[in-house]
Amino acid sequence: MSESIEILSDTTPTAAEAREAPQRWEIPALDVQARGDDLRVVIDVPGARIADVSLHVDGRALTLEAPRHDRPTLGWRRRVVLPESVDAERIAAALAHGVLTLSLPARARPMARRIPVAA
Amino acid sequence: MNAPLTLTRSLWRDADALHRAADALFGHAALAADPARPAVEYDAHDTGWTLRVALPGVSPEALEIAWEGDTLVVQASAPPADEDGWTTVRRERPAWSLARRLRFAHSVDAQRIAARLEDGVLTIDVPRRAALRIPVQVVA
Repeated sequence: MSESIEILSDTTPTAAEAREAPQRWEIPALDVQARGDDLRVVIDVPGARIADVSLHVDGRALTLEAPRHDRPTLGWRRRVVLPESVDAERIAAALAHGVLTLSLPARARPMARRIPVAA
Repeated sequence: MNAPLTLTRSLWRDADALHRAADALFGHAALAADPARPAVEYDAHDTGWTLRVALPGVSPEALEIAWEGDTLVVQASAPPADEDGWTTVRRERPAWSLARRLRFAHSVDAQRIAARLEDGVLTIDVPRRAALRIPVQVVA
C-alpha cells in the first residue's frame, strides 16, 4: 500500500508544485537517535524555510525536499527508508535555525489480551 | 580582476574538485566538501562584499564576529548534540567549528559591517569605504 502525507508545509500542494525546483540537490547530513522504540532524525538543512520544506511518505520511503532560499539554485534532498515499526501517520517535524527534527514514533504494540475460556 | 578577499585560491579549487568528485559519485546530488569546516562564500559588488556561511543550529550567542585592525574575525562552533535521554545510533552531522580571519583588498567601512543569522545561514555585509578624493591645488 502506498500513502502520501505532506507535513510541514503552509503552502498548498499546487503552489509547492508550481515553485521552480532547484537546479542541484545536495544530500543533507543527518543524525538518528533512539529512545525505546521511538526514533528521532535530526537533519541539517541551512537556508531552508519552513514553508518550502516537504516530506513525503510513500510506503516505507520518506523523502525530504527543502529548497534553499539563500542559494536559489540549490536545495536539500534525501530519501530514507523507515523501519517498519514507525507509525507514518504520527510523524512530526519541526524546523529551527536550519535544523529539521523529525519525530518518528513507533506504532503502539498490540496489547496482550487474555482470552477467557468458557467452561 | 583582484581577488576581493585574500583567501587561498587553491583551497577553493580543491573544494570545487571535491564537489565535482562527489557529483560524479552521487549523480546530481553532492555532499559538502568538508562539513567539519564550513565554507565562507562571498559575493563582491561595487559597494562591498556579502559573505555567507551555513551554520545549522548555531545560536547568535555562539557566534563571535569582530573587526581587528584590517581583519574580520569570525568564530563559531556547532551546538552540542541535544540528546536528553536519546541515544545516537547514527551520526553524520559533523562537529564543525569555524575560525576564519579574512582580509579585504579594499578599505572597509568597519562601523557599517552588519551580520544576520537566518535559517542557519550567517550573512555578513562588509561595505567598502568610499575613496577619499584629495583636491589638488593649482599653484600659479
